[in-house]
Amino acid sequence: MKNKINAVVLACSVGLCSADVFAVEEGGLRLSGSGFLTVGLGKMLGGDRATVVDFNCPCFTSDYAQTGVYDGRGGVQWRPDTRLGLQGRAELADSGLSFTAQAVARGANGGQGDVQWAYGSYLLNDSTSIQLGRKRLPMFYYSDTQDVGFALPWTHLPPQLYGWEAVNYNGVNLLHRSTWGQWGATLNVLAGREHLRDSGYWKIYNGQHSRTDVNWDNIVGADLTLVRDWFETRFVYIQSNTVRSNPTGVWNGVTYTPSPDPYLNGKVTRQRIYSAAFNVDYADWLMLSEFLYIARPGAAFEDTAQLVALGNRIAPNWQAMVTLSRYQGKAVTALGGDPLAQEGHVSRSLTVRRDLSPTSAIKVQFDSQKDRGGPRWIPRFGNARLLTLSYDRVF
Amino acid sequence: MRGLLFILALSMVAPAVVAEDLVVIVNPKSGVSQLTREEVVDVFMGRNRQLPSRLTALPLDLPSSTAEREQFYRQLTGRSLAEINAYWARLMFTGRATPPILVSGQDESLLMVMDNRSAVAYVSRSRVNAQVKVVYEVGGK
Repeated sequence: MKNKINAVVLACSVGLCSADVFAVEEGGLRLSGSGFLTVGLGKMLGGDRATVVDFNCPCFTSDYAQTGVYDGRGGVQWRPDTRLGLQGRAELADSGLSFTAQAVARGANGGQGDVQWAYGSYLLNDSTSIQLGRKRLPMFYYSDTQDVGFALPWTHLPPQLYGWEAVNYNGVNLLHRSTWGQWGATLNVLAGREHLRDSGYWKIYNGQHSRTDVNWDNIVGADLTLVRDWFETRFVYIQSNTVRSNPTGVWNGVTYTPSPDPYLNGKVTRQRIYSAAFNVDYADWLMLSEFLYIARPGAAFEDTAQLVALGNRIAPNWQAMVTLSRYQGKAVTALGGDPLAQEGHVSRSLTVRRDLSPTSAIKVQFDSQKDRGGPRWIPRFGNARLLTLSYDRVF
Repeated sequence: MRGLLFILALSMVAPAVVAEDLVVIVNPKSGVSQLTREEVVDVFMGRNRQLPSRLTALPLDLPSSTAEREQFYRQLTGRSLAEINAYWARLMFTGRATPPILVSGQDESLLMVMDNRSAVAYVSRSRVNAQVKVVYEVGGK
């Protein structure tokens, strides 16, 4: 009987208390599992028609890291935003030790699964834990949960901000929670590295049969979250040494001969990532804002991205949100950067969410993306209009 | 006839079951005499579990199928259970915070609070007994 109660307690602690969660306890070892599902459907409504790289545009990238791209082939497309995740946790009772893992299968990767998280955690005291293993890089407010559609207010994250070549790392982090006056504070300090073969991000720029390997070494960073009642803010700094290479060869059945990247390819550069979020959840109103700046000393361009969203709980279990997001590359002219050859785009979206139950929701979203790249920017994906529908569930 | 119509109209807008007031309770030995709404939110949303008496709070949740749980979070945070679950989906998997411990019902909440100095629970006001201390009235001014 005791085991049964513990199992239910544990189920709630890891899996939102739904009846489907698996949890057992035996001999002081607690095992539990839960999961999440997003079925995403999308249809391009219009935009600039062209073949860009090897995409049949109009194109809308919903997930840069996984090459999740809606294109203009017509019909309803399901691959870019559909995913199934399973997560498990093993915990040694009363020891402060636990191990957590998550695997995700994505439509964007043809249904193949990969391990996104696998880390051990040790609770040093009530407010501090040390974690070791593979985790998400906490670059953005929604980084930790970018695959869990139910936790997001959108059908997909605003791509202008949430897109970069690496999203995970292997390493160690120290997590500390405390209070600063009236503020709840969470400080996370991390160090590690990420060696990524065949980055999905670079397939968008170099072609679906290209291959780009990305190495981030000496990753060091921290994120600080402060929350007080209806206001939450988050600051992030991460730096790394970064090098990427495009190996020539036959990838996915096609011979790939890369054109050299004059600025970054094969060169070790240091990148410094700064981001900040300021969010308000007051009465029935939501305001989300997030800002990103990536500097690369020694490289000829920098990245800037922003998003602002305003939402309202328009009725019980209904929420509407408008979002504006913008990406703009900035040339460093002193290092040869061309101001007229920078990537830029903005996206406006309207999202309506309906919670079907405490563990499921459907969302409808309309995105209108405008290309703001300089006249010499290549590849120019152009404008796009996209309608998406998602069903999200956690279990 | 007018009176009958009035009663009929009233019955259409009144809830079928009148929700009972909820209160947040602690163990009398916790050293806590009262909590503010912000402190209750911090404890149950995992933002800050340190009580004013420096004890680390052990918040208890009722099953999601209970009306009291929906009522508690709706009155405390203005959010639905789906929104609360979405909030936890964002935090708990990374180990950044852990949700409250699930109990089987209000009887177990009372037993755990009576037995544990750190336990914090919400129960219907009528369930309160002399062995627990009310520190916050949910939905109160």
